[in-house]
Amino acid sequence: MNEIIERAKRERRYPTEAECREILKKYGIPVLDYDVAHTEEEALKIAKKFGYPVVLKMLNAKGLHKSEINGVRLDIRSDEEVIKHFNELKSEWGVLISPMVRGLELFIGALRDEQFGVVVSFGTGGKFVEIYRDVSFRIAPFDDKEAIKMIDETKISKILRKYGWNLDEIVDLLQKLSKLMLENPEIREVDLNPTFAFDDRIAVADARFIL
Amino acid sequence: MFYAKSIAVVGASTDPTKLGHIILKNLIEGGFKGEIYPINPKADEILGKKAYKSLLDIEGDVDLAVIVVPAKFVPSVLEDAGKKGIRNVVIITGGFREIGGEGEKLENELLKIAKKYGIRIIGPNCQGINNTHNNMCASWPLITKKGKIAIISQSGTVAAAFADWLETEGFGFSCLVSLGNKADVDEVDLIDFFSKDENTDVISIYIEGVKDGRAFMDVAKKCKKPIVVLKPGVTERGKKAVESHTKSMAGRDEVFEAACKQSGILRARDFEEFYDFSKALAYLPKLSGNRVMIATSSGGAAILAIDVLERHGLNVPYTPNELKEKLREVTPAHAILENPIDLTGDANAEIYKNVIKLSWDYFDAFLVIFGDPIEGACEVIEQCWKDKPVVVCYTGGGDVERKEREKMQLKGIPVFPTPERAAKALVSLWRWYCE
Repeated sequence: MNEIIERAKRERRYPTEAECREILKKYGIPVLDYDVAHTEEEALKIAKKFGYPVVLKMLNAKGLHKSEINGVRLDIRSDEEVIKHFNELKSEWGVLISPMVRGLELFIGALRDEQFGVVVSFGTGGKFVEIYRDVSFRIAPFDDKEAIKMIDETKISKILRKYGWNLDEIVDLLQKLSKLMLENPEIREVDLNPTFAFDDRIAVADARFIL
Repeated sequence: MFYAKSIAVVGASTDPTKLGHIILKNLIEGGFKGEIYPINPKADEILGKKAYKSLLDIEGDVDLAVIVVPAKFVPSVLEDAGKKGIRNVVIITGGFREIGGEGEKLENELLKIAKKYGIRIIGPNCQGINNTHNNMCASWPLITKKGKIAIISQSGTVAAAFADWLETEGFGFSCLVSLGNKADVDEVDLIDFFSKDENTDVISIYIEGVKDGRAFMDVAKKCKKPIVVLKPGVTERGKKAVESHTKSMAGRDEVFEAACKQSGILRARDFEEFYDFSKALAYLPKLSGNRVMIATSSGGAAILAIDVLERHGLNVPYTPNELKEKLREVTPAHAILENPIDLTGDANAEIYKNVIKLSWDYFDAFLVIFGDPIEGACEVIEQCWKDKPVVVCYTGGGDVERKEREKMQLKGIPVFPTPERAAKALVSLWRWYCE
């Protein structure tokens, strides 16, 4: 068993976003730059390293949707703001800081279905996933051809294709996520929302695991 | 199970209103060729057959026992069946897992006995099985018309209605299996069986939940025959209704949808599609491309069909000029030759025939709409029935329509009552053969 998951299970909690990102990295899934600050000084140092603007995120071990508890502060542009928001968000887990970036918001997810096992999903990401409902599903494992079919069933694939995005990286991410789910039966659900598609690469910007 | 040579009906009744009587009667009147043994401790003879007190009293071998006795007696009957060496059992009786509590315990008891003797069970709480190719209607209503579609259903009524339509249209079915509680035999076993059954070309399944999703996908992937599935419980409320109907888990619909796509299953949206897809796949020739020609006497009906075809990936290309020249020779001056070929209300069978024959090499499939009382429609279609699908819609033709439709159905030609249903039938061929 993955040691991060093992520890979380032992402590009867879910992994924090920082821990989720560690696991994703282990599977070679591209994750947006981040660091965790435990003090004001650390927060300022990290913000300086990435350069303004940055994003500050609350860390929790309950698998909560951070945006629903006002746990995400976007577009932070000064040291004063960093200190203010750091103090509002801090917990025993620290505060996660990332560069503020813009890209096309994708939804990538996985769940464990009682009848069919691991199911991976792809579609339009962002806050309004439930409203757009532009998500397609496949039962893992599947081959790359099936992954392309899955991507092409969504509306956002038409945008990706229209502007010449390389779908191979998305296929690769879906395959790696399948592997992660198949190898870690303790994970019930994964939400990587949003995962950003930039001009030249993709990167996970938020991660939530439910055990 | 399905090709049994001798059958015992346990709970056979002298009362014509009881299922135990009806099933026995259907087996006899359906022309079952093997031995039939009614089991009833109080009767000497039922429907002219010698009755036995118990399965153990029968001298000869018994391949299949159909059990219709009240739930509490079923375990001891199953025990007798095991001792008698019977390995296939259909349990019609209800009052098991579907009622919870005691019923669940009783069903587990059945499974224990079955395991001990190596008995396979269909049901309990089901409407029986009917293999027309074995003249074996261990079910109701009595349907004997032989066909190519195997119907597997978790709803007795859906199966019976489906079978009834097929018989009315002259197609019949190969086998009908009512799954009931699926205590033992389930959809996976049956797909496996019918994929090898020489009398079955299409497997049609109404199902409310699958027990083992992976096994379901694996067996479906291996099956070389079309599988059409109707699975309700799409909405949250629908899922709840599934639970109370058959204690199945409806599951996440989008996941089931993905499973169908990944294992080559054609999923029907509703009962109508379920029937039409099955009929089309069993009785229309293979489709090998997406170019569809529509010959019609009704412009409106043709447009309704075009929208369905185009929305689902099929093409209704414009008529090539070269063909238009040829068609001009055989069509009335006011006919519109741009596909759809609109022959208008005074079209006759001869014109249809000439149009289809001249167009044959230019298209992959033909959707022929008779939208007026056109005599001789059947002969036209029969003459054009070759290696490409000709899908017929007959609508708005009154008495002539009824007569022609019946003639076509007697020849095994599927006829659809609306242009959209005919178009969707073609879409099902497209999905199966080309996508």
